[in-house]
Amino acid sequence: MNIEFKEINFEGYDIHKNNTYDDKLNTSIITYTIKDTKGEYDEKRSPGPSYLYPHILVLAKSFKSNNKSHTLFNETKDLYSWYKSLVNSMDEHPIALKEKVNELTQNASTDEEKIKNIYYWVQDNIKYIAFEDGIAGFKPDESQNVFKKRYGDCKGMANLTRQMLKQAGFDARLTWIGTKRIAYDYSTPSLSVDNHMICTLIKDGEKIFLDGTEKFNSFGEYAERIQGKQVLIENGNDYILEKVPVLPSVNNQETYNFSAKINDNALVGNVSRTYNGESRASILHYFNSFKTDNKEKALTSYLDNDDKNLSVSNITTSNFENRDTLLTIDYVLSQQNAVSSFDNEIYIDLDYKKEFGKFEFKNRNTDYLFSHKKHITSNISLEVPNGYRLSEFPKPVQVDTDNYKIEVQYSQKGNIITYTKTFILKNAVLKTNDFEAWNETIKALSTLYSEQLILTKA
Amino acid sequence: MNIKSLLLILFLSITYLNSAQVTSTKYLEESKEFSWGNDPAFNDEIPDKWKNESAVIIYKNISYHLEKFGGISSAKLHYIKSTRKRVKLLDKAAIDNFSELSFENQYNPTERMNAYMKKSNTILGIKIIKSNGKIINVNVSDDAVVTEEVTKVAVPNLEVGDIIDYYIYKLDHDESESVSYKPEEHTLTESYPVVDFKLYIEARDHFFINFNSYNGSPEIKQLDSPKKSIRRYEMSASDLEKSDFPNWFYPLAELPCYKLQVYFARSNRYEKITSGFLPEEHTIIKKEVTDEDIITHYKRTFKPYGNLGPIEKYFKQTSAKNYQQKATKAYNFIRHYYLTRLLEAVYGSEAKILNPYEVYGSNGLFFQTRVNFINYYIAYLKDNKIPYEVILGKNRYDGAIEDLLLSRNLEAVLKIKTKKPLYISLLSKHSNIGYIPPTLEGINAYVLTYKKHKLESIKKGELPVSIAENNESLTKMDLSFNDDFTTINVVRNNAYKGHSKTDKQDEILLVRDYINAEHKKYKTKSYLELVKNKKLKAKQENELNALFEKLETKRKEKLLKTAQSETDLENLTNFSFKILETGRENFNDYFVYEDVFTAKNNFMKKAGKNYIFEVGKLIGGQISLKDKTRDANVYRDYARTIKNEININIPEGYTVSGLDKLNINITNETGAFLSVANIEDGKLTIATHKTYAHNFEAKENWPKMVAFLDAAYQFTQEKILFKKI
Repeated sequence: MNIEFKEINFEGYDIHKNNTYDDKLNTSIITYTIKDTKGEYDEKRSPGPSYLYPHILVLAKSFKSNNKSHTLFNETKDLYSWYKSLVNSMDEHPIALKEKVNELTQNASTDEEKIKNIYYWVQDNIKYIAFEDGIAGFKPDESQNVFKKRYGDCKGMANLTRQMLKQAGFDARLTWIGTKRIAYDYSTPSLSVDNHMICTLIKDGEKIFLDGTEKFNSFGEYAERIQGKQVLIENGNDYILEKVPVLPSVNNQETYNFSAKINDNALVGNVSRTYNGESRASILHYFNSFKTDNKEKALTSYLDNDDKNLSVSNITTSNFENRDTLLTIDYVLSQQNAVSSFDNEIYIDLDYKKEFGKFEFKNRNTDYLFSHKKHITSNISLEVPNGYRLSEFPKPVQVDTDNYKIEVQYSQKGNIITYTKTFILKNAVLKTNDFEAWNETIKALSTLYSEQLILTKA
Repeated sequence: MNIKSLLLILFLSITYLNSAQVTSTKYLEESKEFSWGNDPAFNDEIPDKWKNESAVIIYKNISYHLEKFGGISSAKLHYIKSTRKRVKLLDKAAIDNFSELSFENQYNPTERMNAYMKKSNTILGIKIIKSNGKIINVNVSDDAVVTEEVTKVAVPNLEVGDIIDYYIYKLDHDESESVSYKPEEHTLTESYPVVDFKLYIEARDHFFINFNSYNGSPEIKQLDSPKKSIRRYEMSASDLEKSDFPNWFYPLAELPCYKLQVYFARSNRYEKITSGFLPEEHTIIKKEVTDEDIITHYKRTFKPYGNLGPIEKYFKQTSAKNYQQKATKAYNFIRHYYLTRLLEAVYGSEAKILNPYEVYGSNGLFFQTRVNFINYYIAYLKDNKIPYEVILGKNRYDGAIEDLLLSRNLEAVLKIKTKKPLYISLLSKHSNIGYIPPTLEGINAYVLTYKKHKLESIKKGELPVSIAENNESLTKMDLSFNDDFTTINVVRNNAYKGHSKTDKQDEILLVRDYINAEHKKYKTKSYLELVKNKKLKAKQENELNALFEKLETKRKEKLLKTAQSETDLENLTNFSFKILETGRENFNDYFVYEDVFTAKNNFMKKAGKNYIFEVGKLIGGQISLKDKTRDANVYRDYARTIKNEININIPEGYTVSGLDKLNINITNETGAFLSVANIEDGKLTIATHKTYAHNFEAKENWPKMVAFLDAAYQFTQEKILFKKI
């Protein structure tokens, strides 16, 4: 047997390898010994284990039998060959999809509309239920089965998406991919390098990736877990290697705008929230999971945080079934117990959310991964009541590093105080060597959050 | 773990498990006929008022088939329950919900302990009716995952507008002459609205049925039957809104519901030994329980029984001033001798450190049932010529005594007829004489009177209700700040009395907190003192010490978390605690412990040179009612009082403003929230007091409760200003 034992993440560990040959058994015996290691980390939102722990990838390249050499996975093309053989062995009858495809495309005026109708139909109507025993772990379920059952796993959904798009006349391909959880790419020929399947649409020379498991994902947008990862696209007997583009954080922007006035012990005014990209997709997914009769209550609970101090009214939103456009929510907010009066002074706790105020890392050993590149901007304006003036502002916090940017500050123009916050997690990760500086920033942020605005009677 | 190895394991486990039966085929045809046969013509229309629901159950049917096989002398029994639902799916959430159906693999409707050896069959039948009328029969075995406890089935091809019509048919097989099946008590409503509901029972001879409908639920009717030996019954209800139980509510006490219990007794002889309130004849459904039933059932239950040797020995070395003291000492002795004395060994046995039977033998160590314990105490009362009664009550949450039907709904309380009566209801690690479970307080109950220790008569009587002042929790906090106000130092004294005490004792006390004092008091030996072999004793002593050290570490962690959640303070450090009083002697004694810690001062907000302190938060989270409407009566566990006393050392160089907001008084007949704040000798003292006056309030009084609940919540939002001089 020709096996390569690829050693990964061995640096820094006390590992010895011993290679002997047993003449009687005619076998190589390779012994790895490791000493003095810590246990696995019990931390949430860590990178996948293939990034963290020492391990061995057993790459079975080939074997000789009766002087004849049989290739297993010697190179990437061998891996692709095996995958393709599974695909070829499927008993596809996509004619079963024709009626639905016609229904979804006949009234569409552009190609993009046709593609979206099909892609979104798969997202909305195929439930993720995985039965992956035996070969079903690698061979996709036939498209007509997934269609009929209305459920499938990622391979089933990718295959259905492919077949439906092909029925509509588009060039759609099955595509293997290892998500961010996996540290490898296709330069290593092994079953361990991928864990997911999507569909690639090739149109006008461009490749667009479609993932039916990402509910409410907008056409042309990509989930964080596949961004920057290499994909293996079927191309007959050959294959294409490509990379999913990395998208900037601003695509996921979430904004919050509140124009507040003081009313007794409360801050009252109009709020406008917007969501885009992955922040939009996750909100849509959340709300659409509620029963119809609970949806209104769910929205109110989301906006008022189920907090007695918050009352929301006059709620208007953009269409919650549209996953392409900016999602907006507007309402009137009354924030009780935000204002305290003592003698001639008014003390205001302007910021309800105080994002990241307690987000310090203590004794954490692994990088911290966010679900997506967060990009949050918040603007709260406060009208200073007649006869009062503001004494001083808390000191701003301004930090901009490779992995994050935090900017929180106050300013004043006329009788309007403006409080702006920006939080950007540029790469959806905080690395362990970021922690020290990050903690310092959070301490400063926490101090700013604990400082009240003071209005004194002039 | 690599996804591929995970898949491999999944592959192996599913292949193995799928070789077991996904769903029984033996009774498949019968199950279909039983569950889907005899269908009325459905019009599948949804009432307009429910068009906005997630799903609507067009038809729900729960059917029981009580079948007996073989001749008169055989007793092969089938107890079959089939639950069928025909549901129209109106949104995606409903599709998600019904795309996966699951059922427990084991069905055990009897009370038998060794039921795992029984054969039981569960059959799932599913069909889908598409919106165009096409009917699809689902092959349940195709996409199922069987685990040890549960089988999950994926339902294919569901779309909004479809109807899913499924049943879960469960068959229990038994061979016995006398069986009491588990009773069932249900409200008519469930999580989706129901257009039509039917309960159906078909029973062979010698199956006895208790059934009644309550709170406006329709009555059960007898139907015609082809054979004399088969009886058929049906209860129908319609237009059932979905259940939406509010907080502080007992559904069975108020909402339409039914209670059902089935028994089997092959003949008269077996009727007598079958446990429960059996109907006179199997042909009659028993709807209520009479005084005669109670007398018959409990005639020989309560009687003096037990070896009083240990208790007599104890009383030779102790004396008591009056009956009250005597009864209390007797109770506490019994609690020690028959329970806590053995606890160290029980823990050691569970940790596989020792075998308690080697030291204690196996005779008469614990009371097997509450009745055994009550009978032992009755033996003591007999010995001391103290009169008593036995009270049989129904818990507040399942309805009034007049509605008694199921024997499992009755709980016994022993009443000692001293001048001031004493009640005994149970025996546990920290229980006291005088304790009545909150679920039995204030109820109207059966009172069994005894003459010469034989049941003489039966009448009705009430159990007393505890008052708020006796169910008290009192927390005194002394606070000081460090120089830059970033941390807060806290010393708390936490005291609990009455019902407020029981949960805390169970949560906090460990046996080693009190057992040595008990051994000394009652002159009994601990487990280790009874171990004869020196080597074994040394080994077990070490292991027990290690075990209890572990428990103490866990306890400290738990108490730190408790301190955090009770004060809403965070990042606690330098945490220590001390138990000051165990409160185990008398029901009205306080359980007291002290805890000390330093916390991050998240309640202090900088305001220029001054500081705003969110002092209100220190009394802990309060009920926050966003929606103040309520259309249901209020059932609380018990009346109670929660008191807080906060003492803050005012930092040097600062004065305090804002006390006016801390002086509050909202009092009415349902309860109160009061707060008084004072400054004296450089100390700010705030005393708060929240009372729930009763364990029940009529819904008309809800606005009065809201008044003091809102006041308590608003208090937590109040702040004071530390102003720099």
